[in-house]
Amino acid sequence: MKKKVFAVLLGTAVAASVLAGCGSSSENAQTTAAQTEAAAETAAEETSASETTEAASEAADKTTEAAEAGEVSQRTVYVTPEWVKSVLDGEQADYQDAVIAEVAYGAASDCESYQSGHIQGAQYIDICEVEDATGSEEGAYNLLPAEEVEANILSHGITKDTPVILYGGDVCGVARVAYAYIWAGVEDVKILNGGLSAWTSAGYDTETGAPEQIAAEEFGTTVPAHPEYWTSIEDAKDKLVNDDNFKLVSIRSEAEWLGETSGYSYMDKAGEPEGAVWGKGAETAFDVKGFLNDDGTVKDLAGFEEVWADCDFTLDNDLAFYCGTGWRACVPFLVLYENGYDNISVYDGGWYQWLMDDSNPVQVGDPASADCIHTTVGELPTGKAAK
Amino acid sequence: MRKICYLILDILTAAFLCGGYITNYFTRRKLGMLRWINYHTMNYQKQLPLDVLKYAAAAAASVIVILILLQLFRKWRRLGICDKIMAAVMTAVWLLYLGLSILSGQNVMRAYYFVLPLAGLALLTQIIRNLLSLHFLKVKPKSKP
Repeated sequence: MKKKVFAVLLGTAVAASVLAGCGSSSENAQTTAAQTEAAAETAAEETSASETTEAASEAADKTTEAAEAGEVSQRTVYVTPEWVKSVLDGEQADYQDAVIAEVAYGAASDCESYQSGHIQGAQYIDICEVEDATGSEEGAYNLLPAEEVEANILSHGITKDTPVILYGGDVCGVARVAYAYIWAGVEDVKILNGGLSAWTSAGYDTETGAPEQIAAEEFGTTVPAHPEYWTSIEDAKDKLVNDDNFKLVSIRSEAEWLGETSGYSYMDKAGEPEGAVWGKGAETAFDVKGFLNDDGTVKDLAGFEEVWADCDFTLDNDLAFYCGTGWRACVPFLVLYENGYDNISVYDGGWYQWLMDDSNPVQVGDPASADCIHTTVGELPTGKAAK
Repeated sequence: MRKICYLILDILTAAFLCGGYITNYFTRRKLGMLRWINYHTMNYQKQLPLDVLKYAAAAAASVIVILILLQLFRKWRRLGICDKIMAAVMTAVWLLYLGLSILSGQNVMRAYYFVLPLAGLALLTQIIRNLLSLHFLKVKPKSKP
């Protein structure tokens, strides 16, 4: 389109100059002018083709980079490497004191990814700073008590007003920490979409060595600031029975959903809480591949809506996402959160905590089929742990 | 035959100690391993009085090791250099096992109830090895002046 417009304008300009220059209406002059115009038009098309393509490509790149590195709203979660780079370069006025951190399981000294090279200035956050690591009946791999989460957040110099940018190798693990921070009250939490691989693919450097960490003293609000984003097992059971608009959405693989396996080596029984609906997204207990693009980045809302097109819930329902222990469930939570939805939460206990009470009702199989078994945890057969 | 027995027991000692280290290493680095360890530890805690067994085993092992060491000291001059070294190794493994039993716990080492039995088995192989050493001392005739 641009090429044709340019060609037409150039042709018109040539014609106008020829007419003005000649100043006569003789047929020869008109024929010559027409021939010149046609030749000029052809030449303009040919010679400007490559220039226009190159210019258009450069302009498109600059536009894309500018868009990707432009301002984002506070609730935006998934951001591009270009945007993060712009923060590090001091181009984002509101993010001068942002804390950037790599998220993984275990101690920083044991994290090969962090030790071999991380984004400039990145701290290290252990996932166990926000969730229970014992799996006991009290802890159940759920979020830690509020005061512990608050203390761990403050140790990184993060308050409720501190912008936080997280990244890591495990999409679900990073989402878990981001969710915990949002629940606690950190107002601006971002995740580098695509992780460190996207960063290095964009051509940006990494560095080694841990930066200095200065702890903050006051968080700035009562933790948790958003308790509504966390659904307990008691609330989940109550709402499944008493709230028609409530949907407990399983973010588990099809094999887990159908009760063929628990998905985990430490859960011996398979099934789903009675009344749950399937939200897809996972191929195994440890991924959300259905929610990822081919390049490993998390899909946008349109992508999620496509996955959920034939699911038994809508975005108007009160949605509580769950999985095995709350990692995979955090990914759809964050995508809906960044798109302005507040009728969302994570049922943190997942299948793991549901299994702790033999009287909890369970469905095994697709509830829409006649083969679905409705029973209780105590009656479930064992031997369904993942090998 | 004697040397083969010693070699097998020494290899077993090393294997048990390496097994304990590797178990703890992967528990620190792999979340799936941690949760598998947690699951089985909780099951064992429900079925067995783990703390009682821990202290009872440490006490019994200590008594046996001390008795062996006393016997070895009595016959110190008849011991070969290898026997003396293995007596020292047994003492070191015993102190390691005692330290784990008394000073450590699940809050320090998540794989505690997997590492401790492996350390105990390493100590057991050293106890057997040193008992064999004492046995062969008895059957070996004393050298003539």
